[in-house]
Amino acid sequence: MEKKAVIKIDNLVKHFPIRAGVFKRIVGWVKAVDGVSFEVYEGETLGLVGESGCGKTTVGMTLLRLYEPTSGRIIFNDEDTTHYFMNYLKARSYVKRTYIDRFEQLKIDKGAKALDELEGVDRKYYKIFMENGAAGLHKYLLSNLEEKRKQFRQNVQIVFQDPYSSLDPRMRIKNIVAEGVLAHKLVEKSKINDFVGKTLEDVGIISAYMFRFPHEFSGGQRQRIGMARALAMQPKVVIADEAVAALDVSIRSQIINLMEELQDKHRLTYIFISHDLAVVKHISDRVAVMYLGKMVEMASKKELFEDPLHPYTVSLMSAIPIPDPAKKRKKRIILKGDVPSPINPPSGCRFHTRCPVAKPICKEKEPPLVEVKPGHFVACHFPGSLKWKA
Amino acid sequence: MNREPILQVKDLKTYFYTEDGIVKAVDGVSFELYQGETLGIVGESGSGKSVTSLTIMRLLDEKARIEGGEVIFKGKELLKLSEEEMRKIRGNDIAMIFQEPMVALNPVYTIGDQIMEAIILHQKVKESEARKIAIDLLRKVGIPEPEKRVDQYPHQLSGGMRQRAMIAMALSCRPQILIADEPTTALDVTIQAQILELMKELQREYGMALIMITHDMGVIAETADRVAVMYAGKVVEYGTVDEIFKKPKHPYTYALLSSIPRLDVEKQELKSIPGTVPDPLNFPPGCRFHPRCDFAKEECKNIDPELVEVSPGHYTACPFYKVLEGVEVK
Amino acid sequence: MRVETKRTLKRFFRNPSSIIGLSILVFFTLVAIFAPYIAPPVSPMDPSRKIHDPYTMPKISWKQEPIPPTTRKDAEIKFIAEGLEKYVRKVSEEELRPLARNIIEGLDYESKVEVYVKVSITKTKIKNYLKDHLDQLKEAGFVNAENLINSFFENDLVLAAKKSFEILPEFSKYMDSLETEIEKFRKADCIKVVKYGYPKLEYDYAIKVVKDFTKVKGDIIDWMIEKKLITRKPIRAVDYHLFGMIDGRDIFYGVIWGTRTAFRIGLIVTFFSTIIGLVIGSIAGYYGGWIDEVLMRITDVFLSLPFLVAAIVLTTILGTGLDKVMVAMIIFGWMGTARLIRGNILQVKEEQYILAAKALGVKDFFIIMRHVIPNTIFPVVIQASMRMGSLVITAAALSFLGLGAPIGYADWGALLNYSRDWILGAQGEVFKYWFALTYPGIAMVLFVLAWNLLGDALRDTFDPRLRG
Repeated sequence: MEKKAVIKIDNLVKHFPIRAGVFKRIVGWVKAVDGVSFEVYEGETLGLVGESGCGKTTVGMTLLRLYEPTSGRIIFNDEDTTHYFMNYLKARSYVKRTYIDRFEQLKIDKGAKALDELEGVDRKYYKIFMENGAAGLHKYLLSNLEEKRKQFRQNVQIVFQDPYSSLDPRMRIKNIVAEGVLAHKLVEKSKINDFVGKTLEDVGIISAYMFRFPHEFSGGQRQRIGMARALAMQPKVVIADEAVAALDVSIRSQIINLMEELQDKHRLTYIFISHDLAVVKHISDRVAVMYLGKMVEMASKKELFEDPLHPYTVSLMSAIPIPDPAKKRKKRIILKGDVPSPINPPSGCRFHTRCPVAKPICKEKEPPLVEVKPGHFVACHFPGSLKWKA
Repeated sequence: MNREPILQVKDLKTYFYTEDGIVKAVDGVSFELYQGETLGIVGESGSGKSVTSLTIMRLLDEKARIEGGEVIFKGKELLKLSEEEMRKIRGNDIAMIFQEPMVALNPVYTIGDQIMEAIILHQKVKESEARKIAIDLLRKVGIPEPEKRVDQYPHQLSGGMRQRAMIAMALSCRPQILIADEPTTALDVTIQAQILELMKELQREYGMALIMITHDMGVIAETADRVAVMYAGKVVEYGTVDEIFKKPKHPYTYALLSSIPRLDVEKQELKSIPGTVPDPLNFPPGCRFHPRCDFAKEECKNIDPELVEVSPGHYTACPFYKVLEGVEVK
Repeated sequence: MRVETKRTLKRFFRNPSSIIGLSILVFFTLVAIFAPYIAPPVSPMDPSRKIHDPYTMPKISWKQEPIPPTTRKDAEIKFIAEGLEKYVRKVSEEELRPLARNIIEGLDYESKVEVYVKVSITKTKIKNYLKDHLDQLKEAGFVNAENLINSFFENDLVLAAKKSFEILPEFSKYMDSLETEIEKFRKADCIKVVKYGYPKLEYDYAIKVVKDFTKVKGDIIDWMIEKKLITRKPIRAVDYHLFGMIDGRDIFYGVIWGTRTAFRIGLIVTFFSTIIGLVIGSIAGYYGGWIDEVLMRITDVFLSLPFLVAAIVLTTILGTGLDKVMVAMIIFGWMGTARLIRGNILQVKEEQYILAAKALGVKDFFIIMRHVIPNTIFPVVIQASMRMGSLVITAAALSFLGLGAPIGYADWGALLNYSRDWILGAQGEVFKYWFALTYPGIAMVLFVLAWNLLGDALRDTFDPRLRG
């Protein structure tokens, strides 16, 4: 089956400046995300796992453009969207830097033949460049930014972790759900009540409750309302940022089931960000494991859980307590020490300070993310050297 | 088991008198704790598991009132002790660690100061001596370079290190009971594994009894010998960890176990418990779980079920527990 | 009603400080509303009103340096009995002007001065006249003229006059002219001659000030405490001056109408400074970065200026007056709100519902209006109510320094200002003038207390950090 990538992230970097002193000079950078690439296919669920500080939430926020990426490209639906939220001058210089300059060189070097080497958006844009010239590509990429921005916002939505902080306590449910829809004029104002009611019923909230305030609902119901708010926009992609982490165990399964149900119903694509490997295992089709701003392993769920290759993935799995007292005697892999600070990440492989199977080379050379098996990527010099089975 | 329990809680009731009404946070909780064992108390938010531990320690605020019950620690009735006597027990005989160590540690004192304070208070040693003990303790809980760390402030430590420091503080007087209230909830899984391992080791070494309060069934399975499952202020099931996980005799325990996604077992669909966790201001009448129970009968609305012994040491508060006979935990 | 609202109200009304604060405020509000009935402003033109005050026509010493006429007001009281200046010790322009000016300026509104003149033709005048005509007398054979003139004092005035009439026919003419000139006085617009010819060696006259209602528009006149007496001294409660008088003004009237002033200052200044603070603080907090940096540095600059000094400088530039003081207080009073709202916004900004709204593509303006402000406004409201009270104190301080309310304006601070010189009482009697300070003082303390109690109660009720 030909899978279509809805979102493609290309070498995404997000560094946060650390400012200090009277003049707020930048004294350092928090390297929250440091070169992460992945694709999300239509209709699938990609699980993004890692411990706190690994940059998984930053990836989500940057993807949504709630943070501006430091560098890298975010491609949505075969269009580069990276420059959508920049101001015009920055967007211009981004387009020039990323495409025009490169294409001009390519044109001189190879001409039309270069088309065969390029793929994805590069190919698409090079075609436009060849046909309409630099000005044509400029126009294609930079015109109508306001409209494109709106469309992007509509198509990519988020569900947050904290059901208490994610709903404005002073707004009625109806207004919370309707806000985005009205801002984008997706539904007429006169029909908004019906629309909100339908959306709420969709997530299992009685539509008559739409005039209530968030505090009148329990955590699980609030999370449903958060889902409704995202769904109202009829998005293609929903980023679920620890969407079930704050919920009680008995409620968590309700929301997980609801998310799966909605995915089938609305053909949604999920990026499921979580620290809980068990939940990710349940809900995802593919899983990406992150550590200190880097992706260390990515594979289909089956592949990853049956044959984890990166030592970090293995130790993460072994660290999770299993709700079966019969299995508790089994020795687990206990990692030494804490996660290092993302301000000064270790040299070489970032995991080498805690890795039980680290060798001298791990300290010096950073392992690239390579495809060791079809669809199974791992960034380790010695993949598969650590074994553990539950 | 005919050992004498070190701690016995009988029909404990703690109510909160709020502006909106009476919150029956703990409503008739009983359990025993034996020397050297770990009792897991598992429950969701609002089930009263934390309030139970605070009641044992008598650390409740003025809104809460202990309405009844007994807490017997080595023959002493803790609820009847004076504040002065209770202070001696706290820390010395029963210690407690909390979910968020940053809140429990005083940010303006160094780690060493805080551990030493407890040591000097309860053991009557000199300051230099106490400092030595503190450094030893920090080493014991696995804090690297304890000589340096002892003079650091809580904010200079990572979350895992802080929790270790908290444990060191709790252990400073070699308590006989350690109450751990969600000790690893705020931590990452790899750090959680470290802390759980450490706690197990220390328990073995000190021979103390541990009350592990958590919402995580995994942590319970990992650490506990016996388990009390709490729901809406009551213990609904009580028994050994193997019994509880393999042959749950209460629909709530069964549903809970079926609803958690597992790393070791592939589940096609998660079972979900309908409805929401009940509002502690108005618990449903009768069995408090009946509105969410798959097996609920008409009678469940009216009876307030008592714990009954279904097999030696295994109690359940469901009179219809037989419906679960032969039902596998999915 | 929503459960939450009900609970909040319950919590609010159970708080004793809110009850006390509210009841004091209700009392003050009633006083302010019914001020015209409690202390009716009386028109001096009202014929039914009789002046019982023994103090209304005091003796005035008017030996002051002449001031050249500069304003229209001076011109109005210009009255010269031409041709008499040399002989009649008249109420000369130079002498009267500073006096009248003092009075007019003291009232600070356009007014007309009525001068009651009691002119006496006295021995001295006649003596002076005869002295001037000594030669004529001597020529007429009145050899002993000097003696005669001197004898005016010792002997019978009438006799001497008679003799003089015989010798000097002009003398009678002079006396006639005196008469006509006094008639002129009588006709003069602003002077009423009460009596003349009263045999006394001194000149008596009183000046009565009449409010000119034709020249003052609006209600401002009601806010003025009528200056009934020229004296500045506190006067114990008499008759209908319930609280006594200070600076010739009724303290009761000042306290009652001062309530209105207090509310006006508090509400206007709080409202505008809160608005300014809100705008600056929310822009700084929401956008952050260099905008925040610039706005906060500006705030710091404003904060670094000592408030009183800054207010004094500003009122010097703008001129004194209550409105100017309010402007100064607004300009130098928004920083607290700006900082507070900024801090709150920085907190709320991290809330996920703000991120969610951004992710929905809602415009910044709507995010601020719909999400940020409603969730941050409560502390500001609480702070504003706390500030209400302190603002009145500040305004009073400025009035006390003479920068605030104009003289005569019903303002508690101004009343305190009048009593400044009498705080220590009289010699040996420390509490002689207690009333001058006590009544406006109590009013002010209660007012500030009420707002603070209310603010406290609001904070207890609404501050989520204190919620159980």
